[in-house]
Amino acid sequence: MELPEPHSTPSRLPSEGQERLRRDLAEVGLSAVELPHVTDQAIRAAIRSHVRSPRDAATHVDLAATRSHRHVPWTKWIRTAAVAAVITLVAWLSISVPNGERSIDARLVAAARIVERAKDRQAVLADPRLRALLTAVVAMPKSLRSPSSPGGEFVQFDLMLDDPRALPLSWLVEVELPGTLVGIEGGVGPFAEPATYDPDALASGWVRLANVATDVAVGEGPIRIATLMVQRGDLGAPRVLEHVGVGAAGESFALAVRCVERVKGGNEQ
Amino acid sequence: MTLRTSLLRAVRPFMARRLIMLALSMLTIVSISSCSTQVEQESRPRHAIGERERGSQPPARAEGLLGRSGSLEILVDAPFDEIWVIARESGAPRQERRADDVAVERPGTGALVSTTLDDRGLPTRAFPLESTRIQASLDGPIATVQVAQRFSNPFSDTIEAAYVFPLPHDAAVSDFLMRIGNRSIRGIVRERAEAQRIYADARASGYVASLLTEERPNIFMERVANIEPGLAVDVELTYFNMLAYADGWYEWRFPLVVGPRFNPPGTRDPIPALPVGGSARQGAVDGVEYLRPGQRTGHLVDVDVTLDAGFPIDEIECPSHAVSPAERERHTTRVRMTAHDVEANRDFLLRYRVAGKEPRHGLVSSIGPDGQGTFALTIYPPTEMREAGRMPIDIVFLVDRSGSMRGRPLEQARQAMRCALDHLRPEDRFQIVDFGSDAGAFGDSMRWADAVAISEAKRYIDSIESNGGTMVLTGLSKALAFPKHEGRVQYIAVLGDGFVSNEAEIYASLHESLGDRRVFALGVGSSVNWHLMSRMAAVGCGAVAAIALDTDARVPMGRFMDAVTRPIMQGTRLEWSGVRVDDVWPRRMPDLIAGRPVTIVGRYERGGRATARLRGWVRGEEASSVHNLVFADTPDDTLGSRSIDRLWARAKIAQIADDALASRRSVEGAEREILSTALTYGISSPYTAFVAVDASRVTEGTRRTTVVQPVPLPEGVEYGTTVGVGLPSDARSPETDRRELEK
Repeated sequence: MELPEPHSTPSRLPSEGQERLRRDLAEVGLSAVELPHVTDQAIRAAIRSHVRSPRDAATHVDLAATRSHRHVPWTKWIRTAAVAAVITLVAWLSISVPNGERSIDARLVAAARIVERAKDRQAVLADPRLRALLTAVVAMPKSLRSPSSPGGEFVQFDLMLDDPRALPLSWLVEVELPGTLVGIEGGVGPFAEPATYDPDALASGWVRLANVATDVAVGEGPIRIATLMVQRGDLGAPRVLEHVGVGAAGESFALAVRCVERVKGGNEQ
Repeated sequence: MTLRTSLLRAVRPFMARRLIMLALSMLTIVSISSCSTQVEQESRPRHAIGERERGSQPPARAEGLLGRSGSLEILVDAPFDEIWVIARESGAPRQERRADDVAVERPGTGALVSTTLDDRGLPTRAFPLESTRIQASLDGPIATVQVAQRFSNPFSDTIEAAYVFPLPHDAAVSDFLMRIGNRSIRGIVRERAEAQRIYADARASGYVASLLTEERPNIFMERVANIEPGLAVDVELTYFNMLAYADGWYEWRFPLVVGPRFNPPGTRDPIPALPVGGSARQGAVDGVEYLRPGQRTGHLVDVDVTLDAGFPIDEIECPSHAVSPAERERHTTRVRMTAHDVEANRDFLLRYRVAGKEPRHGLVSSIGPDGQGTFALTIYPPTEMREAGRMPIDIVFLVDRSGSMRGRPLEQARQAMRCALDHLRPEDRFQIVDFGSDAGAFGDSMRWADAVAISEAKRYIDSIESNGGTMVLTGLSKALAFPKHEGRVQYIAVLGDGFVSNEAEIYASLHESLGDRRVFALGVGSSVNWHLMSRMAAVGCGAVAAIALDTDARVPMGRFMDAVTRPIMQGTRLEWSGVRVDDVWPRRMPDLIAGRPVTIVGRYERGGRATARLRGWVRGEEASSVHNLVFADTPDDTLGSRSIDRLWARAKIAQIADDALASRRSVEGAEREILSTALTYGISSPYTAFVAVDASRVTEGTRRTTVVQPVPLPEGVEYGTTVGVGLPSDARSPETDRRELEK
């Protein structure tokens, strides 16, 4: 099957990304892998696409792993498909169905996050257990793969910049949300207009936001640079994964950004 | 869940044993697919096609009541208001539509109408859509357009507003904002079903939310939930599209109203043309409600266009509306609509021409940091080939005589055809097919265009009367039945307004039966369905032309006939060198005719100098023209670069849909790729939607009433022959008409 063509994807990462990947791997009981290089588009496309069987999924994973269409031995197909089928079955059987809402096994959610975030697909895919998990995730119906469950409550998360003296001209923040992003409200002062989001990243399951200051006013205390409207999918807390600001001279620096849930009925800051 | 539970019990004891696991792998595949199917079935409305609403209330009139009474909700106490409230039982059956639409439709769909008097004492109906403000920025060939709609609530309880509106068929909607007071919330593009579920959840929970769905490439539905009394919600969307170019003029067209669609029997996804309140009687908001002649809604329209032509502007005009005198510089100008209380019943059209000779080509390109670029290339007919001699032609005129063409539109079509006949020569052959509910023809075979035949044909044209539905497929099938003459190209010239909802079936039929015939589409009227016309022409490697109601139809038809009889290049294709070019849309290029350039979009790797060689056949001989181009090789992140990306994605989606209709690929595969493309580029598509929720507070009110925004009929279209046609009888009952007449 033909994989969609690569599209421009800003590369990022190094150490923090590796650390996060190690954490995620630990969550699913796997050892850390080395992460020498970046190449992720093909695997994300594979994850996004719907496949009809574990065998299809195995083919996707193979194609993505090699970054080119090469001949895949049929024995490899069968082997990976068989392991994937077992994992898929176990996952499917272990799906909890509380009050009619579906939520997928946490290990698979974690696996999905790993492969979506990890930058060295080759290294990740070299791990046979993770490879099989990935194949199972790809083989799953998308409705089961989605980490968010329908019908959750609507909540707001404020992105707070703690040190307004280091006000950037523009910023980029990546955040992991415990649910589905359903709106982005502007913040205050120079970031009153709503931030933009990267649809390509969103399609792959993470939220990457950016905004440009409309003036240079500097206030006192923490300032709200955006508010995220979220339909909650689980009880987890949001995590800020990347937080980069760009100053007037074009220099980039890390921002002190927090993502905090706003209490219902509470005042905005 | 029974199957799952049984399997769970059976499998658990052996879970660790690999052999049994392997044996179960095949079962897993079956289980996954059955599970997926089950989820789909659970979300599907349990109504059969055509099933009527049971237990629905007939329209009831509330006379000055306030508060709630039984199943009726009375929402207004304005002194001059006349109020109708139509409520229905929640969960009542409705016509089957897309399975994923059901979540949005369910609770409390109703209709609410009030009438007030305007400043002149004329009856004006109060509806949620207060105004539409269009701000367009035309930079060279690309338009960036911001459409802001203000929905307010003139009633006394919280409402949901629903509005069906048009956009250009090639519009790539890429941004969506909801403004409440001084707060702005950016909407998010999601898979359509997911967006609808989020919206339905937000609506049911009492949050202000909005949803933008694409019903057709040129028809969109906007819904805004939980608008509190006296408050307003602004919805802003931004789209990009390419300017058209015809006969020396660049044209920017903005449609202001959706024409009433005829839904042939068996249409899979109809768009009913309903009288006011018809949605409630249908039990679903899935059609367009039309005002009767003379009725107004108080909807204000403002169009503000800033133009940077890139070349000295020679001439500029707005034939559709009164506009303020242009603030004109050498290359730039600004045009604004003068009157804002005009009826939004025709396209806004701005045309301009630039000084100097027509260029050979125009290239807009941008490249990303990864070395992948996107471009839009327009190639104008080469000057050296324009002196082509006249070729004998075979032409079949396919004219729409349905009810929507009654009156001025059909008269324009007649005048255009008489002009076309005058352009024929004895060595040409022709035929005329007219269609409404059925199809008729001037003769049984192609006729030589001698004086006798032309005279008889003109009498036949004069005898064509409008009535009935718009069975395009019937007419098309009759037109395609005329055999082709060996060695001659047969042209199909379609004249009509395109007011049908079965576009997909028409494209599929064309793909199947057209062969190497060429299709040219002439849109007649003030608000033509350009999606249908353009796609028909694209499938048939032809072009489109517009015949407005208030112009001399002989002018565009004369130009069209000149172009058709003197084709510049046929069977065109492009060959590239210097830069690697890929994913060029449309895949099949149209013929090159006088006054009509060809525009393509595509991707490239690493910019620089390149050569595009246009090859094709000129009067039976192979010919080519060379175009030296320079593709951008430095990354930028300007609005222009983002617009080209999205225009390319939109063109790709159109090509994928076209491939599926032509059976060149599976429908399922096409759906997946369209969804993936639309999500990656964050644009609207049939399978994506924009949703925005304000989770800051829960509104007050019952949240049960949906107010559908009715629209005027397009200028020149008659109400009696178009609205309510083919609907269940109670959708336009005598009682309804009596009440309408009382007003």
